[in-house]
Order: sequence, then C-alpha cells, then structure tokens
Amino acid sequence: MGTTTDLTMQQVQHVAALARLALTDEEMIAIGKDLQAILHHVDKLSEVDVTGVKPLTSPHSHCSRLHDDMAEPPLAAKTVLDLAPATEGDFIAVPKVLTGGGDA
Amino acid sequence: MSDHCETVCEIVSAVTTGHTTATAVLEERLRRIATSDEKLGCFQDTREDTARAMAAAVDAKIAAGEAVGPLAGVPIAFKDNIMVTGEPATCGSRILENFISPYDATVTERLRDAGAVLLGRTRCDEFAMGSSTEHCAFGPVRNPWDPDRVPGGSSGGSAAAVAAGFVPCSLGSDTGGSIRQPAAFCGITGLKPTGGRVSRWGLVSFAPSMDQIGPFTRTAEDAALLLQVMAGQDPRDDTSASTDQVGGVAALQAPLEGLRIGIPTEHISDENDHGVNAAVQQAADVFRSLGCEVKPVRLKTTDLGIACYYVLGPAEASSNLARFDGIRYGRRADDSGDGLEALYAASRSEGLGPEARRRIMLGTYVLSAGYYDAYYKRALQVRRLIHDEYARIYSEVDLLLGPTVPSVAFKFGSHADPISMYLCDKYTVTANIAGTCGVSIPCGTIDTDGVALPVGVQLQGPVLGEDILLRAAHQFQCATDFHTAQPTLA
Repeated sequence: MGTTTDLTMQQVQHVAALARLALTDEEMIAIGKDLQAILHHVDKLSEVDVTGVKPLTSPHSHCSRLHDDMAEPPLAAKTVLDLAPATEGDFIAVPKVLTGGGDA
Repeated sequence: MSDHCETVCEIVSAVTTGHTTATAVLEERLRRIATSDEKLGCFQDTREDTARAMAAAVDAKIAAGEAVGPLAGVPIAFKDNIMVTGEPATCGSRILENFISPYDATVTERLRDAGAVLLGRTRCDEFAMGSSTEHCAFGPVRNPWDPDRVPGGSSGGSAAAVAAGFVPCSLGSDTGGSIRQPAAFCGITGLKPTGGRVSRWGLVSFAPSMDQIGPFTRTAEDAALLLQVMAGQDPRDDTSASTDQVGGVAALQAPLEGLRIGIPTEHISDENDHGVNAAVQQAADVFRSLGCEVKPVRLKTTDLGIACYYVLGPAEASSNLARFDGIRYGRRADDSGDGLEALYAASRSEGLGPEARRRIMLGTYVLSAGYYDAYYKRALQVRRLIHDEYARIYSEVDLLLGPTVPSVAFKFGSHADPISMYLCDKYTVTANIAGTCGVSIPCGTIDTDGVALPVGVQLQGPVLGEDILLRAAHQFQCATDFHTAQPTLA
C-alpha cells in the first residue's frame, strides 16, 4: 500500500460518481481533505507484515450456515408499494432509464 | 411510585407480585420524559398510546391469573435503527425520515413476547456512524450528567434515556463501540454481545460483519435478563449463533474465585484522560478482592484497530447504503429530467449527512479498482491477526479489563476533526473486528470543570463468553455502588 499519495480532485470526483453522490466543488474539496487524513491514519496497516496471512472476511465462522432452500411468504405487494415514493398502478415509477439511441 | 422500581428485575418482581402495575410503571416513566426530555432530546418519538395498550394487556393478564413473560411490564426504548412494525425507523437520517417499518425486527418480536412495553425510539448518529450523537439529522442528544457534553454515540439517545431514568433499559447497536462508549459516558451498563449472539434481522445494516444489537441497563443482572430474551438462533439471520441460550440471571451467582483477568498494557496509555487509568486500577483491586487473579497482558494489535476498522466499516457501509437510492423507499429528490442516475445521486445527496457521505466515499475508494488489495484485502489480513491475538489471549486469561474510552464525555463540537472522533473507539473496535463480546460498567467519576463525570471500565470476553463476562460485572456491582449513582436533572 505504501504511503498514500495526495488524492487529486479527479479521483475524488470519480469516487463520488461511483458512490452516486452529487457533491458541489466545495464539498468535494472538504471531503477530499478528510479522506486524505483518514487514509494517512490507515497507512499504518502497510507497516504490518501480513505475508501468508489469510484474509478474515467475517468473524461469524462459529455460526454461519446455509439457509434451507424453502419458500417463505413475502411481504404483500401493497405493503411494498406503499413504501415507494412514487408509483403508477402496481409499479414503482422511475425516470426514463434508457436515454438517446432508441426509437421511443 | 416505589423507590424499588428502578431496575428491570425490580419492575418485573413488583409487577408480577402485584405490588404495582405495568400501567403505573409506564405512567411514571412517561411523566419523567414529559418533564425532562425536552432538554436532553433522547427520544425521536414516544408511542404513548400503543405503550399504554401494551401495559394494560400485561395488567389484564396478571389480573386474570395468566402467565406473563420474563419482562412483564418493563418499559423499553429502541435505538431508531431497529424496526417496529408500523413505526418509523429513521436511523437519524433525512433519507429515511418518512420510512415506516413493514415488519418487526426479531428482537422486537422477542421483547413483545416477553411482555416488555415498547415505549419509543431514541436518537442516534446517522446510520449509527459516530461517537457523540451530534450526527443525528433531527438534533443532538445531551448528556444527563452535564448538558454541555455529548452522551457518546452512536446509541446516545438510548444511553442517555437510561441514565436519566426515562426507561430502565433500552436497545442500542454496536459496530465499533456504539453501545459501550455511550454507556461509559452516561454512567450505565452497556453490553455488546458476541457477533451473532443476537439476530440482526430488522436492524438497519451498517457493517454486518461487526454490527450487533445489545442492551443498556443500570445493572449487569438486567443485561443478563435482556440478553437471555433476545439471544438465540434466528432462521432469518444466517449469522445468528446456533449454540445454546445464555444462562441469564441464574448464571451470575457463582463467586469469581480463581478467575483470570488480564489488563492489556496498551490500554493503560499516557494518552488517556487524567484519572481514567487510576479508575481502572481501582476496579482491578475490586476484582482482586473478589479472588480474581489480575495481571498485565499484551494486546499488541490494539494500535491497529482504528485503522483496520476505518477500512472495513466504510467498505461494508458503502455497499449497504447503496440501497438508499430514492427509488423503492425513503426520500426521493425532485426529478430534474436528467434520468435515473441523476435521480439516485440527487436523492442521496439531499438525504445523507456529512458523516454518512464521508464513510460512503471512503468505503467506495478502498473497494475501487486498483485499491482493493492495498486497503480492503490488507485490512482483512490485519483483522485475522487481531482475531488470532484475541484467541491466543483467551487461552491465557478468562477476561480482559481496561478503560472503555480514553476520556470522559467531551463537549459539543470539541471533536470536529473526524480522526479525533474515531479514536474514541480505540479500545472498543477490536472486539467488533474479532467478533468477541464486551461490557462497559461504571467505575466512578472524574471531576472535570467542576462536574463529576462518569468513567467506565470495559470487561471483554471471548466468543460466546457472555455468561462469565456478565457474572464478573454482576459480582463487581454487588461489591461496589458506582452503578447506583444517578445524575440530577436540571
């Protein structure tokens, strides 16, 4: 990992796009600074010798198990639709997904 | 109301023997909330009508001579990230401001069945991310011992509500210290059970490999009772433990003679607040007087905890919080006409506060192409080292003892730098990383700016070691009276 190099504005913008966050330039600068400081602290992990150490994704090994493959009653459609911010009939309404190129 | 109705065990005893009623217990608590919560802000919402109906149902059963559950008539508050059918679960976030839970969490079901009275939901840091409850979109919570100071976090409302006497018990969630740290700051008992001990079904996920629901109480005995009700395998949570139930109150009575307790030398740091280390040494003396063998041990990975946590926690959070996109539930921004992707981003940016955004950004970065191995994979390898060191230590000692937090409760705004806030959890995060259990109990006060502020010690135990952990905490509380101190509300 080495020492964190400075995050560029392009990197911060790229991460914000991946995270589906619309940030103003000011917010980008502030959050970039914070990330830099946190990553600097995290850099101490790079000093640890992890040669041959197997990653541990979860400590729940004492209880993780496979689920029985059985159908369970789902939530009622109305319950689910009532939670949605916008609906049309029995559907959740969303803006147009495909833009351009189509013949619609 | 009788003075003997402050703890969970006292209430159950008084209600079931007819010395008082569930209704009288509830009305007294509602009166205290009405008098003092405006200043403290513990509650996001109280549900007085449904709580009265639940209390009346318990009273009717008792009057009819029917059997009641082990928590009959006990008022309880929930952190606002645990689902109760038909109630909001905002997680302290604007993005879930209008969300109504379509089902009960497993803990909600189990507490209902046990006869508890669900009294309301408490404020927390947004999506349980924080150590001060300053990051709640609906307003901060104040510490009952000094309203100029934070109650800790993220479960600050639940901790302050018990400390203020609004409820005898409440639920929190602990991903890096969010039960133990506010318990220490508020002078009460806070238990983080073993990862998997209590079902997470119906707890809004932050970092599932570390999230765990647990109780705030005045005593370890009450914590044992609540844990017994909540623990156990749940078919809806495949990481819930398949082992036997915990022993409850009956498992607390055996003397501590011969118990081996280690004090990690890394926890007795010069960087701790003045008085914290002395309080731990005093607690160690109490355990020695109870027949325990107390000795220093090394926990060399302590210093890696926060660094490891701030890769793993944000990585899991960035993935979990991706579900909040304004489409199926939660807040949706006005449609700008720029398509679906723009709507996701606008809804998330409107709905999520600064700390949640920070962690999502951090998590997205460490999981992104080119950085995954350097950050995420390496943190998982360090996690293995932390886990293995704990396992090794618990073959040498039964429990660990140290400060819960390096400091006492701090003033609002004093930890504006994220790193300084994160370091509050340096002694608690490793138990979440390793999946072990821990409890914070009061061990005295430290005079700070003319106010006596509570200080907590943390006892830590191995995977599924809650019985011995709570037995030690209970025996400590039988020998001392630190846990009986209560703040005077202005």
